[in-house]
Amino acid sequence: MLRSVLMLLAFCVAAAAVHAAPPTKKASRLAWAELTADQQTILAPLKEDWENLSSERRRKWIGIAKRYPKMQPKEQERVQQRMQRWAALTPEQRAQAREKYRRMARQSAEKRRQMQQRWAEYQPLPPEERRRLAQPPAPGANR
Amino acid sequence: MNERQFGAKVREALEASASRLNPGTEQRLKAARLRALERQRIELSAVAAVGDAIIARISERAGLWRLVLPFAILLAGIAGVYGWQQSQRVSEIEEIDAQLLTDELPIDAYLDRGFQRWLKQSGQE
Repeated sequence: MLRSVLMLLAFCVAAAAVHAAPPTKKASRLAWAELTADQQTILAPLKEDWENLSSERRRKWIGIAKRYPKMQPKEQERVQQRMQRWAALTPEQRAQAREKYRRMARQSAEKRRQMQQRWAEYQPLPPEERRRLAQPPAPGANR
Repeated sequence: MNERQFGAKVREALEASASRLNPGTEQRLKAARLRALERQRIELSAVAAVGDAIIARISERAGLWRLVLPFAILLAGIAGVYGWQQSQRVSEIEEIDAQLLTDELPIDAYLDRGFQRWLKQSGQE
């Protein structure tokens, strides 16, 4: 009985060790130098930050690099422009943007077009007006 | 059919002669039978002891495996589900990030509180 318990214990420890090991291994496996030349070209804006990215995020970016050749030239350009900004956001900001995007993506094409139009209309607003809008409404204000 | 009849005849003859045995012979036959049975029992119990030992060994191991195997399967299952969920999550995030990065609406549109409030105020959301 004691032997079985000991063996079970040893098994659990081994299982835990095996489970804990992969992330560090994976992180080192997805080093910048190990990316293909194409992937390095596509992900160039992230080169400086690459070593600080978690293995999960590296895998995600490699996935995006794989999708890249199938994108329209206009989309490829957007990816290049936004990559750095997106990677520099806090995890909370990214989660917020994803959530808003999901909600927006569920809406009709018409609504989405309207939203683009609204964004274009919003751009010329004076900075102080935009700052005022960004402030939480004052208590007692008519909402 | 013939065989059975022959057997029956032999049995009849044996039974008839057995009842005619003298008590001394009967006694000696009984003793010999008992001795033979005794010896057979000893041999059997020796074989049984070895057999028991082997079975005990096997079942001890089997018992251990019966204990460890379900845990091993459970752990492997948990690890599998966890790994699968992780990869599902990564590919889901990859999908949505690829869309966000390529969409006509810039990322800032989703982060700009002023824009979100402005949309609400003008009743567009």
